[in-house]
Amino acid sequence: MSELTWNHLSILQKEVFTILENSFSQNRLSHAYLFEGYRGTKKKATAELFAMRLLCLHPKIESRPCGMCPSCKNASEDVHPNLFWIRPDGETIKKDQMKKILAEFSKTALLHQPRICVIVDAHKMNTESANTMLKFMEEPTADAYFVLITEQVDAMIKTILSRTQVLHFKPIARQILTKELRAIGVSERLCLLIPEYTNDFDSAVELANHPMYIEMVDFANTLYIKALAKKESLLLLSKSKKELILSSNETFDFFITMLLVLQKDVYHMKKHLPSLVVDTIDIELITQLAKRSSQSMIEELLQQMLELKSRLRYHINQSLAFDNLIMHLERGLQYGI
Amino acid sequence: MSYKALYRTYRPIDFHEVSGQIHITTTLQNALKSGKVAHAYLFSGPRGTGKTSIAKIMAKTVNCEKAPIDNPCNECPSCIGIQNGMNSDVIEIDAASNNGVDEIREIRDKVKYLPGYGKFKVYIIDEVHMLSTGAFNALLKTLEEPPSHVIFILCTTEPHKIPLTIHSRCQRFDFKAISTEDIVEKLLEITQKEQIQAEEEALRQIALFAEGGMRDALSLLDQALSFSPTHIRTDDVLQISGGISYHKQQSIAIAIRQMDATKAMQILEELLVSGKEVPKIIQNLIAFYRDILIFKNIGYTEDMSKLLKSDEFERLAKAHSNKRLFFYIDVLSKAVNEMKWSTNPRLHLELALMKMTDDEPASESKLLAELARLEERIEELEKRATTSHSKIELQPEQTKPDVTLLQTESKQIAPQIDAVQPVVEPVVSAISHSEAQEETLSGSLFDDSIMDHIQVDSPIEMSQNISNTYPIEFIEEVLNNGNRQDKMYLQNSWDSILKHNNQSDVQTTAQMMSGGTVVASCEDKIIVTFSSAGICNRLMRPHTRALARTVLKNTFRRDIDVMFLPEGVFQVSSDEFMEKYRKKAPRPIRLTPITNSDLRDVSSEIDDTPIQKEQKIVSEAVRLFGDIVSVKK
Amino acid sequence: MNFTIAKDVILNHLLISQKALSTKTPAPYLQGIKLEVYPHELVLITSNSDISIKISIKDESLKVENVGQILVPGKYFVEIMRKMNGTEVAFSVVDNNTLRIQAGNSDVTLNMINVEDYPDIQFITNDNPIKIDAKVMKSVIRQTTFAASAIENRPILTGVNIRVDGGKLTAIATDSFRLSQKHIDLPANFEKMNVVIPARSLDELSKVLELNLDEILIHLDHKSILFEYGNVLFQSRLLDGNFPETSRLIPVEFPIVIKFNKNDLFVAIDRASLLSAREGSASIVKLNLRADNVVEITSNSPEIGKVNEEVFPLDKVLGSSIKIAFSAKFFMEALKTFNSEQVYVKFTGEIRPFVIEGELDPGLVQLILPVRTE
Repeated sequence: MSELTWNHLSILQKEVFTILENSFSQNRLSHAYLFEGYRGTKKKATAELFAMRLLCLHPKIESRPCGMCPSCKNASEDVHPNLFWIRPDGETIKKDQMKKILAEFSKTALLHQPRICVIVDAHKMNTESANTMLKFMEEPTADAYFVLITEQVDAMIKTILSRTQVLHFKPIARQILTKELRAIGVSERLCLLIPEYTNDFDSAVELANHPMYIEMVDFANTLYIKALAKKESLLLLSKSKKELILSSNETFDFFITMLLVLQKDVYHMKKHLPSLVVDTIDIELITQLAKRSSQSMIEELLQQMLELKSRLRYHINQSLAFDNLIMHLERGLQYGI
Repeated sequence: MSYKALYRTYRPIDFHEVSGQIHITTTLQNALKSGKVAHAYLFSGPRGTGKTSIAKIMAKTVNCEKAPIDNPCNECPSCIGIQNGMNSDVIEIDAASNNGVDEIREIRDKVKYLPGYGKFKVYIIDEVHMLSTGAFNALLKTLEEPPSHVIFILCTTEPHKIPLTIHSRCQRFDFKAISTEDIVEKLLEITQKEQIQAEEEALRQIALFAEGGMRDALSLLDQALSFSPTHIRTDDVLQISGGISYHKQQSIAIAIRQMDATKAMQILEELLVSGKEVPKIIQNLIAFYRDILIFKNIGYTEDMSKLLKSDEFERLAKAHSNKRLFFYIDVLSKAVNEMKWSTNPRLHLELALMKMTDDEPASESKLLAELARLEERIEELEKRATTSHSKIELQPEQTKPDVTLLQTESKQIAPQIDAVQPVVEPVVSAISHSEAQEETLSGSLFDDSIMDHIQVDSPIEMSQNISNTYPIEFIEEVLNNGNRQDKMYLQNSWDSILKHNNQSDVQTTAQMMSGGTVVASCEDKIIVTFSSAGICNRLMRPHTRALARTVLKNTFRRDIDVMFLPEGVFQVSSDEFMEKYRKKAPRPIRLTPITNSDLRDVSSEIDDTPIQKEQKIVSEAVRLFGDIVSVKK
Repeated sequence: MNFTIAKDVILNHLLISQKALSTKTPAPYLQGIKLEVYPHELVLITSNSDISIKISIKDESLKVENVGQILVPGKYFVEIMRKMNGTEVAFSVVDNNTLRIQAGNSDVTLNMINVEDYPDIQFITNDNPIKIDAKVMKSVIRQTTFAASAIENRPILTGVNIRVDGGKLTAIATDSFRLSQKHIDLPANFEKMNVVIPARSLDELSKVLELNLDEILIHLDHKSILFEYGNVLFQSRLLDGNFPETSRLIPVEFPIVIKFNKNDLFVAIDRASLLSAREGSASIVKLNLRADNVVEITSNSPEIGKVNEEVFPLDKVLGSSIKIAFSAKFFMEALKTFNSEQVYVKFTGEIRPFVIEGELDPGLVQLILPVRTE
């Protein structure tokens, strides 16, 4: 299992794995790493693999754990005595939690192997606990390693940052996410559009399987089709979907994003840039709409959608905003002016 | 399996190895040499600038067997013991994890114990601002009457959080961020010692990224080494720090300046595919524009990369006015703000690029419409001036009677002119090329061809007979024989008139026309509407109208006659037509002739040659405004 | 797995095993006792991660039907064994998950922990262990561990430094305010070693050494130290880091040497410190060597009172006068480590550490850092 995952992960996070593999092979392992990046970029998985590799009794290639020895089999938290995971106790990681680990690390290991401490949500360390760790990091003992994980690198205390090797985990590229979704059988339009909303693989899968979100993607598509046909009032059409879309800030945000993606595609089409179109299976629809609308109208609609998206975080009358948007869409797409 | 991180290996062990902080090391060394040691020091400054390092060096120096001396010998057992952390006379305390009163009381209790090894017990308290108020007070008591064998060195990154009472009892030293030059120097030293191959520009990138902290720089160097063990190139550093090469930054900036949204988007796509991230891209771009701004106004500065120094960069700087740069930076900064809340930052950057690349061309036609409006306003004011002129007596003493009179008159109509003035000024200066000179690019925005179309008209009798230019029969014919499909077709392809009319003679006309909308067509005749009347008036001039027909022929490959109308005016006729149609009026339906105060009869206007035009413009300006007009070329 | 054994045999050994069981251990698997059953041997393994104990029982009462390995919840197991009647106990595994214990009229079924979870602790022995008399070991522990630091701030100081060089073993403990050092001669030359053992581990070891056996074998390793005592293997983790350099701390020359009767000195200091004992801070007493060679032990608490004790040195005093202040507690604790009736207190100066030694305690040095006199 570990070998497969290592391969897989090293594609998703090429730079990180290059650095780690080189460090292993050159004996240049740092005693403190900070894995930082957005949600869903596989930081925890990498930390686990890193620990496994350090603890593995029979590593295969320089940097990969074998996955078979008792150490690898037990290399999850709570089972391996040399592997420690620290998580926030409530809102913060407290000083006592760090002190315990340091007391542990000031002695030699029970099992004569390296020891790894993984700190999840490291930005939640308060200054006390962070500084408790700092001193240790200045003069670490030979076989102790820290891996800090955070999604908010900006919230990290600077003095810790400068003592760790910071490994940046990139968001999973859109194309890769699309591929991954396709691989698990998600329908094409969803594969293309959902990565526009989120980079987090797990979230994406969740959304792609959620009937509510599937419905919203379809409806956005329908709106544009009907707009082209010019036979029905979009406002009337959207009445039945309104409740669904406005059921939460997230759903509204999602819906607006779906419209935004389509609108952006129309914009790119207008500018004769078909390669930048995201929703490739609806290219006909997009081309038609681009022809009909003037550039300024397309931009205006785009601007409105973006503004609405950012205003969402304030208390606005969402019902009104929704109707407004549909009306503008109607006017803009149907009449092109 | 593991090794010692560079920042630990290369911690300075004596004053000579310290980077930067010359003012501090000199002062301390002098004091130490003469044996004048204070009992309490406060070291404050940003992280990674040497506070703890110098504190340790001081601890060694005061306890060195060769003391009093200005630098630790690092050979005697005392220096070696302290360096290896095996000397219990040097006590390092981290205030953040020992910030309670009890911990400080413990220190106070133990402070009276004499040193075991050397002359002084040195307490180095790090992050001292983290102490609780009670702890500070306890510490204060000891600082007030320090035992003569004890030295306190307090270190902090936030001196403002420390009570003044503590400040006043310490000798304070402020550590500065280490300069990029100094960091690069140290990095060069290390790479030489460790026999590492590294491009100097790569080291500079590392130094810039470290923002004044040596430790950060060394950590990044470690990382770079892990990434590319044999040879560290600039690209490697950029890759791990997510930065973007200057070359790419320049490319984007050029594309944006040329209003080439396509190219800009393409470069963005390339960057994203290669793994760069939106927030970083924007940050780099803002920094790049900031560098241009600085270069434009001050010149090259120390922290700019040497890679920036190029002819291309300087040309680019010339092509951007300060105003434009502020505009770009503003758009990008707003995008950064908006992005924070978004799950899809890319959208915001795309829109920002769109804004930055579209602003001018869209407003070009707007500007022209603006100009047209202004001209009419000026004419109107002129006319009033001339009519009131006749009522006022000539004053012989004046050397320029016309102008003087006009000046008197102008005071009366001054408020109106004032209102017009802010808008006119840019027009006047635009007309005289000065703004255009501030931004020189191949293909200046305000070409001479545009000049053809900007005219300050001689006062002409207001003709009510606009039917000469806008015959209602034309409209009747189009509406009565309307072909909706053709209209749709024309409207949908309207944008392509620009593509088909690149030649210099028709280019500007095509540009003006592109802002309009086809509202009706009967195949050989069409009606195109605009929001303002001014542009209609211009386009309906015989010469221009002929050009318009050429444009249409070039685009649609057939002869089409055209009438340009303001939206509102067309709407009126169109509504009338619809009503009569519903009421089943007899065909063909007749409509009321157009009346509109903004439209003019331009049927007899002739165009001047360029030079004449220019002379006319200048003399008109002078005539209207007198001496306040300055003509720049 | 299936075996029987004499109850007393297993219980006695369990009582030793128990010392390495801690309810405070976070890891659940460490709260268990691992039993390894071989054809003619029963092995008990316990660990609280700091110390690990492995006991090998090869008793004639041990009859093994089926071999195997199990992990039983420690506390319950010991209690059950303690309270059971009968001379023999029979153990059998039922359903893979439960252990059946039968003895006398009792029949207990105990749920077990997954033995796969238990770490594979290596008890490292080497070919050339150091042989020490058990009594000597105990006295080394008694004479040093008290001086180790009680607070965790500097973890390395919570341990006892054990160095082996040629034919000598030295144990040092310090909390940076006082230091205790003991040399012992070894029967032969051994490999050079320098490790730090948590003082608490040594204290536990001392309790195990109650068995009154003669010899203890010390196996030293970079990562752990193992004491072999009969059929018990007692292993402790080591402390990582740099132990302070103590040789430079102990002065070489002592211009002033005073010989005292240990008890007289002790009680004098004890009395002197009565009044000056304050909450949280050590009570400080002053020693003053007068010109007439009488030693005054004084203490002064402004709000409470003064004490003045006179102690008469035995023999002529070497050196002139001295006034020095120190912690009474440290001094008394140091004095307690001596067997001698007479001790030498040696001074270098008023601001330098001083030392206590005893004739009947060769190799033992107690060092104390003085306090500045106002």
